[in-house]
Amino acid sequence: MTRPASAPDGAGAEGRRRAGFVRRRPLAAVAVTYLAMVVAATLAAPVLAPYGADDQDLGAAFSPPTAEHWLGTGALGRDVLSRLLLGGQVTLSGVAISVVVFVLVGVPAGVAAGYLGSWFDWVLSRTWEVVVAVPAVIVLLVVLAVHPNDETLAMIALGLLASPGLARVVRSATMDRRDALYVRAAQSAGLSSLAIMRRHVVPGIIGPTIVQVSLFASAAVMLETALGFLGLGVQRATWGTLVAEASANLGQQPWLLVPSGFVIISFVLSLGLIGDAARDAWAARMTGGSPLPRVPTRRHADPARGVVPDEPVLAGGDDSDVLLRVRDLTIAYPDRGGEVVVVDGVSFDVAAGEAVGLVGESGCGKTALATAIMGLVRGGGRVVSGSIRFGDDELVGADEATLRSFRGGRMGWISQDPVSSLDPRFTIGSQVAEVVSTHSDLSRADAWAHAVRLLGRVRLPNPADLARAYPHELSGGMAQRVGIACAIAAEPQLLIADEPTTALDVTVQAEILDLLRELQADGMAVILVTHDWGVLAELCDRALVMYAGQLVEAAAVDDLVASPAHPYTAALVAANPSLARRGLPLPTIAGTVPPPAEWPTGCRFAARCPHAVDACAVPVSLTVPDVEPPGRRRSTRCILPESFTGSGPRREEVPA
Amino acid sequence: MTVEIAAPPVESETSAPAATTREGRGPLLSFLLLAAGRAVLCVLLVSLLTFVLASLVPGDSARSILGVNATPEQYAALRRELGLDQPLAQQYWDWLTGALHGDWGTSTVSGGSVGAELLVRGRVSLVLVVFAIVVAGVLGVGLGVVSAVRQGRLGRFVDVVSLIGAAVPSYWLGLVLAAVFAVYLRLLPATGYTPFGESPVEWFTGMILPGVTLGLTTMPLLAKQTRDSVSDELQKDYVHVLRARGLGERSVLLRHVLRNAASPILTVVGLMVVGLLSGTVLAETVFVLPGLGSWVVTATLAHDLPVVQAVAVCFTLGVVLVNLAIDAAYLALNPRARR
Amino acid sequence: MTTHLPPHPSVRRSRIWCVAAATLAALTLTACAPRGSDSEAAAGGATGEPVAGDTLTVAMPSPPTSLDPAKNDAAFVSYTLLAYEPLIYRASDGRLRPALATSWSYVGTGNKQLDIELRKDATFADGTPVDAKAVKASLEYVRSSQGSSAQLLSTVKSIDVRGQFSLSVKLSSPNPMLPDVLTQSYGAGQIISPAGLADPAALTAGSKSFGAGAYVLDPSKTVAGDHYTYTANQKYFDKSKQHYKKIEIRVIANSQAALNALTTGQVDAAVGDLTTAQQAKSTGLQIARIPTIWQGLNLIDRSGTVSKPLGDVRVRRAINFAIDRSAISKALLGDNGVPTTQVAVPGGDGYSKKAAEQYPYDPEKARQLLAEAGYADGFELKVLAIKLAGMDAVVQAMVPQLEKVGIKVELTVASDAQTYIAGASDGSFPAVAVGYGAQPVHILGQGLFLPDAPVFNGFHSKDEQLISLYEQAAAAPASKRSELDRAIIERLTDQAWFAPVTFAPVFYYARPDLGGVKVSPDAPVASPLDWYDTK
Repeated sequence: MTRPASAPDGAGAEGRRRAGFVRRRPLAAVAVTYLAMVVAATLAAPVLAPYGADDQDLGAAFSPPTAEHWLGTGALGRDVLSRLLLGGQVTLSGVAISVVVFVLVGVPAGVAAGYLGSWFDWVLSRTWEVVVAVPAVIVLLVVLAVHPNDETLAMIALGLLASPGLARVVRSATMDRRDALYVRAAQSAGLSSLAIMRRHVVPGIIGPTIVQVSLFASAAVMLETALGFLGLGVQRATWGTLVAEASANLGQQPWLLVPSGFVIISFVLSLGLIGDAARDAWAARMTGGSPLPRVPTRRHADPARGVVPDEPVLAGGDDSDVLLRVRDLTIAYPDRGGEVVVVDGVSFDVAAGEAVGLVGESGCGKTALATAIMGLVRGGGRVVSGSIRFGDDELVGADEATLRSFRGGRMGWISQDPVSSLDPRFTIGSQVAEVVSTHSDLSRADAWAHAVRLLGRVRLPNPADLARAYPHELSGGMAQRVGIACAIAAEPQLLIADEPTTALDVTVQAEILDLLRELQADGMAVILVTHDWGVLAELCDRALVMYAGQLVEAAAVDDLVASPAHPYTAALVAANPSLARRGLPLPTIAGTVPPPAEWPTGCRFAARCPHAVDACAVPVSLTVPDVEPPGRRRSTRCILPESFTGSGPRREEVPA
Repeated sequence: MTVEIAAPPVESETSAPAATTREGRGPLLSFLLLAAGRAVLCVLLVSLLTFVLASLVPGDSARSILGVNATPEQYAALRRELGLDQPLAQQYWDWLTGALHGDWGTSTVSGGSVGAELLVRGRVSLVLVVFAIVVAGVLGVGLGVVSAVRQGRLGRFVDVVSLIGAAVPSYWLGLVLAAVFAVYLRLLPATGYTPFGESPVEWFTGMILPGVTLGLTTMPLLAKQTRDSVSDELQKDYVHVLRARGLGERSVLLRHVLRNAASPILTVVGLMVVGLLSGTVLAETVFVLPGLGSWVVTATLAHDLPVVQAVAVCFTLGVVLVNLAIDAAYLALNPRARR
Repeated sequence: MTTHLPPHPSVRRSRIWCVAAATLAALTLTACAPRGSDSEAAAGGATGEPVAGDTLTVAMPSPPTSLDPAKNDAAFVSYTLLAYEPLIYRASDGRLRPALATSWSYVGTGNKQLDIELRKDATFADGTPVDAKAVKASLEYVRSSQGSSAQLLSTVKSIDVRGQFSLSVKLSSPNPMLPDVLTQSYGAGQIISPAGLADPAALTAGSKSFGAGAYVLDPSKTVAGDHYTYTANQKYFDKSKQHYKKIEIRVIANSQAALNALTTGQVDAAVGDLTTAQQAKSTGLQIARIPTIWQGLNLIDRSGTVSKPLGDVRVRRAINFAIDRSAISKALLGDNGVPTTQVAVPGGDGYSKKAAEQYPYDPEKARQLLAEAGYADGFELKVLAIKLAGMDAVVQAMVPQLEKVGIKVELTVASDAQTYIAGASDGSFPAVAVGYGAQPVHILGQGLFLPDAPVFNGFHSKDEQLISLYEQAAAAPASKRSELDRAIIERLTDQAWFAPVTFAPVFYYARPDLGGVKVSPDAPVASPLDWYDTK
């Protein structure tokens, strides 16, 4: 994304941006300052240097730092500080020469290739391919073998050699700009190519050029000093020859390695820091954002609870049949130095063999909840408190090895995007077999055979052949069957499916649901994360409705659809395409789920609720209304006791 | 509650997967041919370039052999003998065909055969580069993976190490390491090369400092790239799914993530090898190893052009071969590109 | 163009001489030894009994210019003396000892014929006997090779075989130093087998050695320019001199690196230099050294061809007065240097007390002389130096002192011998940095100051008085010769052909238990053949 080029930055904006740069990147600012100081000191060396580069103090050869010689002396008592300052002139002018060549050749070539394209572009690409294979040092040695100690020539050669690299980067930046709409507009407005380049293309290549130049300049410093060290460069004091002098007199005065090494390392380091900062800044500009997006507020884990504790959502059957018991589960994610709660004190049970749906809009914490059950919250999140019992085992706080034996062993996971959930580098068979052998003692061959059987069980045709195929050779539906095969490889008691059909087309969806139903019929409990009531109705007996990190309603699917007790459930049902009535416009829920950091303390849906009243501003607990017959248990988190059918008109009366 | 696996009809099949022959070998072959063609072109261009550059020397190799006191007759005779009176194209052709037969000409300084010495010294440089690759590979990939997994402070540590590492000249580092480990601690030999056949232990200990020096200075690039690509991979769905299937972290990382992260890392390895070859020039000089790098430096100082030329072509050949190997490895790692 | 490059004897000459110029030292020694009162022959040396050693590894700063004794520069004789037995061996105390020759003596007067008797049991490594015919062929090959040693045999008129093991070397002009020339210190005395002479390509390329020496080059364990391995010669006539089964010479250009290798035990002995001498001492190594290489300026344009001022002897003397020799010597060499105004070592052949007092440090006098010569405002002087063995450092140290009296030095430092020799020979530089080993005056003349001396007399300066003295000395009996040699040195000093600064030593470092590492004023250059392990 690019900003309109027709909006030139005012001086003030530029200044502010600079100030921002310093604030955001103190290191880069220090580096720029340091480089500027070194360059300035080098330029002013004839004035600053206390001695001449070759001035001698025969009585003080190889002296350590003293008041007369701040950085000590080398052979013949020559002052190290003066030699560093004056030698910097040789080194830095060599670097400057190569940088100038680098830019003068690289930029025009890149712009021409990017803008004109065709044969010029072709030539550039081929040149680049050849040049990357040539070690630059070797070419410099060839040049120096032919023209002994001609450092200027060597540095020009270096600039030339590296310029195709710059040209390539400039080329792609130019192409981006050229293709951008405003350039086309400018073209149609009758500007000449040259004017377009100057006005619109050039600003776009400054960023990448700065990055490349700083990278190249550090390489050039390294090479120039290396030539000096090897004695192939100029035969005067330079940063490189100072290291050579240190190396020759290492036994006499090891200190000599320090100043010469420091000046080279710090200089190159500064260039590196500037390059990194320039790259980041440029990348941020290209994506239109500031490099570090600022987060409005941050909130530490601070579970806002109802005054009355939530009542857990119990499974339908009798208590001994409970497979999974989640109590008061709170999950938080790191956020700007603190944490935000995304799942807030959730409690529910799942019975063995039961299929339970988990519904809600994106951002309500469904996936965080589902992954937490596996002990795998993504993106650095963690379970802050609460309990997850699977059978007789507590999973919160369990060690990795225990968790691993549950994952894929007693719980299977089916993910949303079947293709990207398979490793592209391995065959289907080996991926299934890997799960099999992880959870069994089967030999490789047996695991493979079992994997093939599993592929057959998920109704894949020709499983033996298919086992040798790679993921990219499969359709989405097939890939999801493979995913299911992996999930059931160890015959788990619970399948957790995170929107397993969302990425698939309708007919395939039905097949996958059939398969899941079949598995459930075989006795596996299923937790189905979805926002599609149709899918839910196909598979699940019971559903939990989540909003903004909380359960807001739980009941049999039929009851939820027929008589939602929470306005959010009602709105979700009404907005669902698979339940919509033909010919009528599909209602939508106004607004979006607020980000976790902005969840209110009262009813979290109140802001979007057509029925909201003042009383909604206080925290609301999840309760089991007394009116429910014991057989059809339901829980709801709403102060309004009635059911809401659809997003009907607001009721006239609100009981206090 | 257990789930009965209803065994579907299983074709009688023999356990492990044998490579199925699928169509699509054609593109693979042509890709490799194209890469090889590019490689040959590259070596030819470099050899031509060095040859032309060398021919620009004021005073040719006859002059440098003869010195300043030679008579014009002697000069002309030697020029004839060396083939310098031939047209440049003919000279290049002679040199090229000679080189293909292992005859790289004669050193103008030692009078010895360049080809013979190339073999002896090439071996030393190869050993050095392999040592350096091992050091850079183990440290770079290791640091990169660990910092990608741990993120946070360690990630920043890798940033700092790679920034500083990229700024430290290898010859300076070599001098410091030699001073510390060889001269003061006396743990390792400071200089020289012992052939493996003479003493495997000395061969190994002698290569440690040069290998570490060269490896350390090229490692940062690799560490950073590994960190970035492993971090990218770790964000991907399949990693989460693999974990959800109960796979151990080690298996997830080493078997799956690293293999997926390998392509960009390999690209960096290619760049790294170019850097390593250049680095031998300095490391061999600092540690006095009889390799190609130190040879080309002394040859440059003495204007021994046949040697400089031969080493330049050899280094280019090395880079080109490594790039070919990387292309092939990329294919092997990437099933999509293979078909 | 790929054919083997055949040896080009006639044309390689200048290059080899150039290297000679640049060498750490011309390794030539005096017969009439300098009796050094200041004899710094250092190093306690190991005192233990000799035992048979396995491998001796020696570090040298530079590879040989050739493995053919005739073409190898004298500075690098260590590479050839192991494999090529000389006629006469110079021991570390400076005495001449029998080697292939059992006895030698001048016949008649005027030092024009040397008779040599050979030992009868010596064979070359290939088994052929070392007889008078073989020796004659070898000497004749050296004389005609025009390598660095050819100059030393240029006055050989004929070689007569008087018997199977006796021969006479007849000279066209007197040479009192012929026995010295026939020691291992020069390639001339290192005898090459008939097989070697028949295969000049192999001889030159060094793919094999063709000598009768205690060791034989092992080409399979040799990498030219890096390391050279020699194994004991099974056919050698005196097994007691083979202290090792194997001697390896490793080329380590940086003396710091050589010292490191010595401290870590990778090498047993090394040729060192000033930059590491102090450190070597503190690490407890043995150090042997003797100041013998004079360093300074060679004012070669004595007729003022390219630098008119240098044509005036007063200017050359002014330069000599302008140099603070002891300051430079102290700064660069510490206690290891001996400041000098002449090219003869104190106590050595030709050394003159008078010459030693001729140029005290006196910038005022220098300015006065310059003014007399018409250069009161000074002049510019182009000087060529080479980055080797501290030769550039000495000249760099002179620069500010010369500038103080008004001589602005424009210094060019060559990084390789070839550029250096070209500059010294082609008349583009009137003054050149030099490092030259102390030698008997007769030998010194051939390389340094006779009109046809290559390189070091690049403008072929000729001084009739000098030549006359030289000729008289050559023919004089030993008793008269030293006086004439002194007169030659005094003439050279008085005419200020050079501006010597100091005598610098060659340093040898060795591990403390290595025996035989000694140098003496008569033999400042050590031979690895003398070294042995002790227990």
